[in-house]
Parts: sequence; structure tokens; C-alpha cells
Amino acid sequence: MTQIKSKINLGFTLIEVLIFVSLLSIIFITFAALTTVTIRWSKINEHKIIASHNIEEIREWLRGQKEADFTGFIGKEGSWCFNSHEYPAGYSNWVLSSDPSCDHSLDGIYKRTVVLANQDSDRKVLVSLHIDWNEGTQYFTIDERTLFSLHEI
Amino acid sequence: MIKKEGFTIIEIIVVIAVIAMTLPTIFSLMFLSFQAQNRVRALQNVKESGDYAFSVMQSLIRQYGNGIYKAADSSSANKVCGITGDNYTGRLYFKDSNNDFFSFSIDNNRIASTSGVMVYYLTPENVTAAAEDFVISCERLTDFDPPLVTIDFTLTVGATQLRYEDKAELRYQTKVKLRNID
Repeated sequence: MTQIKSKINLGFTLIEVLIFVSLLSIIFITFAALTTVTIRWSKINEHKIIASHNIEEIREWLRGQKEADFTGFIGKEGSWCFNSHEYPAGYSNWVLSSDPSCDHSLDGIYKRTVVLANQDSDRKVLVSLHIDWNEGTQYFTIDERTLFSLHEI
Repeated sequence: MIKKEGFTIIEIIVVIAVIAMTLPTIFSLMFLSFQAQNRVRALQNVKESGDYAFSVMQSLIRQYGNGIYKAADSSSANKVCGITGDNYTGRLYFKDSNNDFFSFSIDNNRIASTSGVMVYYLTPENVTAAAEDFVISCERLTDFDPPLVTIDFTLTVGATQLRYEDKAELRYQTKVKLRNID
């Protein structure tokens, strides 16, 4: 009788404890990994929304330049860098995309470039907008193309 | 051979120490995740509203505006941006082909499009458009070109919130040239 009672009160075996601890660790590690991935993708999505707005911002600014002075605008065929929300006051202040200052400095992470190509005997301008940024080791980019003409429909 | 039941003090201390280390880690991870998601939601909200209002204003002005006035009255004294070099900043009233007027303004911190007595809100209640950041102006560069209208506004979500992740602000600006002139 004494022998049976002492066996009942022995508690958990080493195998039971190991299984419990292993399961708990797996659950905890999975949860931590999933949450970390969620945080990372939320940050990436935040940057994508801002990048998308930055592309629209430069497109609308260029549209304004085109509307105000189409002749000057078609003279700017080439590849340009717009890494600031403060836009150049005149056409002569535009920065070439090949300039060393054209790096990932817009909002601290983005590099925004524009390629203007005249078409249809200088009556239209194909505008290729590009923004790229790095999220750690991953590289992201958004591209948009639009056609500006003297008179928009 | 009598053995006491229950846990020893050492066992309890070890268990409490492990829980004390894991729980804050779990909660801080969850908190960071919620923070990041709130920030994305706020940005999405302000961008969706801004894109819609921006697009409606641009297309209405471009397609339907054929004259700009500083009051909803088509007398020549109210006409602005009618001649070369003319410019005007303030509430603009656009005249359409039926001689009706429409305009854009800030009403209850929302962008409103007014046509006659009808007021249509272009932004939802939870998105704030401050009157001081809402500018519509026009300029006439040449007599041969229709007036050029500049639209500039800033939308904010969660301006009164204390936490950074609940706030978002985006600025919208462009220039629109009227397609027709009267």
C-alpha cells in the first residue's frame, strides 16, 4: 500500500515535462514569428501607400508644369530626379537622375525619378514615373506611365 | 514513505519567472502589431478620401467649368482670371454651360462641392480638411489659353489623437486648365 501511494505522488515524468515545454516553445515561437512578419508587412504597406502618393504628387506637379508652359515642358526631355517635396522653381533647377545627389533621400527612404520622352512631333510627352526603396534586404519599386498632351480630354 | 503533495517554492519561483519573461514579450509584440496596422488603416483612410475628392474636383473643373467668378453671379464685375495676367485666390465659382454655378469650399471640416442649394461632401466625417490649408486659385497666362486653376489641400485623419500611429496627413496639389471658356 505504501509503495502504491509513493508511486502516485511522484509527479510528472521527465518525458511529460519535455513534451509540455516543447509544445509551449513551439506555440510561443510560432506566435512571435507570425507577429514579427505581420509588423514587417504592415510597415511595408505603409511605405507602399506613401510611395504611391509620392508618385501621384510628382505626376500632378508635372501636369501643372505642362499646363503652365507646354513649350518649356517639351524642352525637358530626359531623365530627372525629384527627391524633395519642395519642387524646383524653374526648369533650370531640375536635377538629372544621373547626379550623385539622386539617392534614397526622399522621406528618408525613397528615390523618385522621372523620364520624359517627347512623342508625336513634340505634341505629346510620355512621362514614366519611378520610385524605389529598400526594406532591409528587399527592394520595392512602383512604376507609372502617363501621356501628357497640350490639350487634355 | 510519505511524500508531501504540491510544488516547492523553487518550482513556483521558476514558473513565475518564466511567465514574467514571456508575457511582456508576447504583449509588446501584439502591441507593436496593432500599432503598425492602425498606422496603415489611417493612411489608407486619408488617401482613399483624398484621391476621391481630388479626382472629382479635377474632372468637374476641367470638364464643366467654362468661366470663373468670385460670386455666384455672372456679372462682368465678378469675373476673375478673364484676361492675361489676371489672378485670383479665394472661393471660386465655376460657371457651367447651363449658366449654373458650382464651387468648392470647406464646410464642417469637410470638402464640400456646392451647386445651387445642393451641398455634396467629398470627404467623410472622420477625415479633416482644414480651411487654412484649402486653397483654390486661378491665373490667366495668355488670352489664348483657358484659365489655370490651382488646387491645394491637406487631409488629416486622427488630428486629435495622441498616438502617432492613429494620425495620417497627406497633401494634394495640382493645376487644372479649363477645357472651355465663355
